Amino acid sequence: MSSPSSYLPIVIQTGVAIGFVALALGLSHLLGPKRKTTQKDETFECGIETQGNARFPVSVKYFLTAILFVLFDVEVIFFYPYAVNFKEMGAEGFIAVVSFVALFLAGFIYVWKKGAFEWER
Amino acid sequence: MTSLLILFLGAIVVLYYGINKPEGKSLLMTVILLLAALSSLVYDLLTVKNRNVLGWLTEYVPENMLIWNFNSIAFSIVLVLAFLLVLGLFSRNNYIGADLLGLMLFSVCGGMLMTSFSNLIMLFLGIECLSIPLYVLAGSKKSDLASNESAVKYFLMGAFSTAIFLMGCAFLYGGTGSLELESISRATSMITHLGIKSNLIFSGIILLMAGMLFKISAFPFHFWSPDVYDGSPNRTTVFMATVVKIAAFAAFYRLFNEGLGDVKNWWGVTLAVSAGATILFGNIAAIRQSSFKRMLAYSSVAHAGYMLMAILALPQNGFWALLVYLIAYTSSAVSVFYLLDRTSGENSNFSFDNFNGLGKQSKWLSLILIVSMFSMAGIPMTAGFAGKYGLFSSIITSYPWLLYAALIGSAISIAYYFRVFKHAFFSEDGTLVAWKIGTMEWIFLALSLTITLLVGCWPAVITLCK
Repeated sequence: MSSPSSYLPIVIQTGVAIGFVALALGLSHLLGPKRKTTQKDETFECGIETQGNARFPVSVKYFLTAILFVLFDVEVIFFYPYAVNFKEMGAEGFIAVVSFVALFLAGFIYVWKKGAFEWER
Repeated sequence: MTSLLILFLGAIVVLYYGINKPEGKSLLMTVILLLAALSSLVYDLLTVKNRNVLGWLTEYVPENMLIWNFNSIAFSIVLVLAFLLVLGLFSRNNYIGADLLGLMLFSVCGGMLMTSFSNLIMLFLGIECLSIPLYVLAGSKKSDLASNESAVKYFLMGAFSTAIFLMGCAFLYGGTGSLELESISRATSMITHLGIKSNLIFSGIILLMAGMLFKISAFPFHFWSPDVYDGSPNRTTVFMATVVKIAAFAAFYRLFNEGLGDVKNWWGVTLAVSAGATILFGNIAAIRQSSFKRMLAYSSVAHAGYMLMAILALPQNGFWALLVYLIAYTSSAVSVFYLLDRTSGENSNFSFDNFNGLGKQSKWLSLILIVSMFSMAGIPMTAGFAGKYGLFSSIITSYPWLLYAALIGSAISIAYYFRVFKHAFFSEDGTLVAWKIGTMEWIFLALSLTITLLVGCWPAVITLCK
């Protein structure tokens, strides 16, 4: 049942899906008429007028805040499996999680003391 | 285990202690921390039950995916000692905050996980814990574009190599059903006894090898290392060339020579070809460099090639040869990098001309330069010779053609190692500005010089602890 050849239908299906998309997009690109105007080539055809370039320097503070957010957000992810297995893991698991949180807290206090959260400086 | 805890918790204390102080203030604390870890390791080494390097897989029970046997403790001692030398010699830093010290300490913790792992998960964690601080350290000279470039380059290359390594772990798990090194070893040796060829295990081993070769910058995967070594701040470069290399080689040795040693006929020739190519490429490329730092980067590629021989050797020979060579390379590389750092001053021009007139400047520094360069080139009476002798003799029967490549490589290496002597002793136009050498720097310079000469004249001193 689990021999490689039994996956052949999936491969054929993938090929058909990719082929159909490529064919449809390619044909409509080749056959369709093209009328280019400056207004049609804008990023947004309707709504507010676009201003300036999207590539302008952003203050590094935003990145710092974002990366710290991600760090503590990922910490939370580790709690979900622990919460599910809370009873099974018992005291040992609790100690492990508490030391994990303690290390994170040490890092949090460090960035705080270091002044990473002071927006105006 | 105690030493690892000391280093890890100590790193947090150092971070907090030096939070808004110049880095120099927290240096003493870091050195004390390292001495504490070192003494704990020496105590472990003296009390470890079985001193035999062989048979470690069956005689030790892994604890938290780690095995602290003679082998791992010895490598850890060399690791911490190398870090101590780096810290002692590259200490003049007015940088505010102890984050760079903390990062290096965390990196050393990762290195200790790599020397003592017994499970591929722990090896992966060790590699990550070693590498992630390094990406930051490589870019720690924030205003320098070359430093930024090296950080990005190192990060991208490191991420790729980690992915390849993980793929290898997955294949090996698929083939053997375990991530524990002992079970992998048992499964692979059983498969060879039965005469079966498992493609899953084979591809896993090759991918693992590619990941490890990346970390030690061996031939097909060496291209990142000259740029990264060249662009990083000097202290990071010497940290990468010594501490990181020790950890990576200890892990490589444990994984391949001991864990997968029974299936050496699967990977031996591949690794030997890579080693030979690394030696020849590193040495030939190093000749052509006009920058001393870049020359050292290529020479460190060549040294990685020599050390790969230990992984091909029999366990007992390979372990001692690798240990002696790591000590020899570390003790000489640290003092050469110190001289490079000090002669170039504040600018980032590392040409050979910086050494012009060093001979007139100081007799002791000249002696250190000569002994270190002799040791790097492998001249007798220095540690480099003892290391090369051990490595070459360990593979002489199994891979004679690799030995020829290594001998040609060593002969070539003399050309560029001795080139600096022309600048240091026979050049008239010396623009070298004398610098003040602190007591701490003298102590550590003397320490590295003593190690180089002692191991060179009496290599058996390393095996005394046996």
